[in-house]
Amino acid sequence: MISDLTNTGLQAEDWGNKAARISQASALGLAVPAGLCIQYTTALQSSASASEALSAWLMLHQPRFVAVRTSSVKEDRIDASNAGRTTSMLNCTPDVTSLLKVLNEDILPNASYWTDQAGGLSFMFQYQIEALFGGVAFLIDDCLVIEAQQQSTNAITAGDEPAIRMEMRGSNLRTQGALQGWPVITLVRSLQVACSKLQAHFGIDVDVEWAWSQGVLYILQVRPVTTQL
Amino acid sequence: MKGVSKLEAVRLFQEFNLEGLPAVIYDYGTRPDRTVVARDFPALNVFMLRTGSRSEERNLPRQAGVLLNDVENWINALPSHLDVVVQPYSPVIYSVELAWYDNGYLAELVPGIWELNTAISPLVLCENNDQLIVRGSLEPQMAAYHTLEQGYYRREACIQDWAIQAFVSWTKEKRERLSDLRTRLGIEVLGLKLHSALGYGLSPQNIRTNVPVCEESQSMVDISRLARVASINDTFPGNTEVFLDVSIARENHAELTALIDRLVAANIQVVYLKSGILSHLAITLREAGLAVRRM
Repeated sequence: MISDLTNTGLQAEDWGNKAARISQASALGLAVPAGLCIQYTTALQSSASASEALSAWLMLHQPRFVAVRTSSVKEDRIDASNAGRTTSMLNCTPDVTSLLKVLNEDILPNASYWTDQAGGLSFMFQYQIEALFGGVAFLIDDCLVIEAQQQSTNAITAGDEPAIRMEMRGSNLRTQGALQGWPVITLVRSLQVACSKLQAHFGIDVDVEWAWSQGVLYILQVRPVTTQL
Repeated sequence: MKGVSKLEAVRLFQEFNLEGLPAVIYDYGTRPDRTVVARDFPALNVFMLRTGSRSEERNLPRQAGVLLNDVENWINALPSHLDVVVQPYSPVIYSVELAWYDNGYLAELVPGIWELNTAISPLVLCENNDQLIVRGSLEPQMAAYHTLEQGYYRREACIQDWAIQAFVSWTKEKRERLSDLRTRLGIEVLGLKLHSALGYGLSPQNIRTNVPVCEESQSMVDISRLARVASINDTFPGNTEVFLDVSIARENHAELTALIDRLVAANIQVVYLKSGILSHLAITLREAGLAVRRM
């Protein structure tokens, strides 16, 4: 099967946790980058359909770059995140041939581990956000902790030292780092609203990867907090 | 050291090129008429008038939004020993209490006008050796404003990102001048009261010489363990620390003095405030010998 990421509530057992949570975040009214999901079996068996859908999707969204990501029921689980273990490819050229090459050569060879007998594995072709800031936010009970870096969506998850760290307990903010150039209050308020919605919807403390672009907070990934800070 | 009067402060701001909102001082010996003010402020018609004294005095007269035609009458009605500071009238967007140290600063920002009776929790910025910390509440609070159309009024507001950025940029730009001013005054901590005036930006208004050394390591306090004083008539419990949660208008200095006298008599040693350790209330409490800490 093939599905848009943002206008339908995808289920984890069919599409994997990453795609399902992003699509549900979209259904909650949160901004997520547009994307097209192709299930593992479709990618293996129906490359013509995948090619046709990708071509149409590229025409509709005209991304400058595409991020190709794997979504599995075996990652982002409550008992184990497997964070960073599935394959993601950034800065992919937005044409069908290139994207299918990435899928076939970089993604599929490593994909079989991530499926299970019932499926639950898909590949997401997403509009790649050119972020002014990006980072990770944890909401644990009512304590929001944010770490961020400039012009990157993955520097924090990659282990770079955050340029700024913000902690919000109740209504009290505490930030540390280079403040100049950071819309701290807007960022904290936006993330507080978004993370609270996700926490309430999924019924779990959430670990959210996010990006800030042109005044909009984009949710890139939602997973359960599996260990306390 | 002894305090720096409003008049001395204005002159120092001019000398150190820190002035935002322009100011002209008319010494008590010279009472300007309409033509003098019009000459000193060409093309302006509405003014902020403040007064200064060469002796220790509080709650000196001031008036916002005085028309050029009324300036002369207002000034002539003043006690003869008062100096006058005339500035263009400009609505205040946010206010700052700044403590400038050798290796950083602590600043408290509130939306609108910050007066003694502004019961509002500031957003605190603390820069120390290039590390900048922000703390405080992001919740909207009832802030005080003044416009010509509405006079004094209150509305919910909070400090916004642009204000923080403008303030941080201002401190970077003025860093050397602020340090030079601190050196000139020979004090460890230079205290400044500033506000952001519409059309003029951040503008220092007063100098404080009794600001304590930064205690950023001081942690947030558990409010529940403190006795709360919610009214100026409340009695104090037996311990030596209280949370003072009262609002006293700047005109009611006698009430504040009476309250402080009772605090001292009750052997209260530490007063916790929501309004921040650089607020007017905090300054007055410290002057009475009480330690002031932030909630």
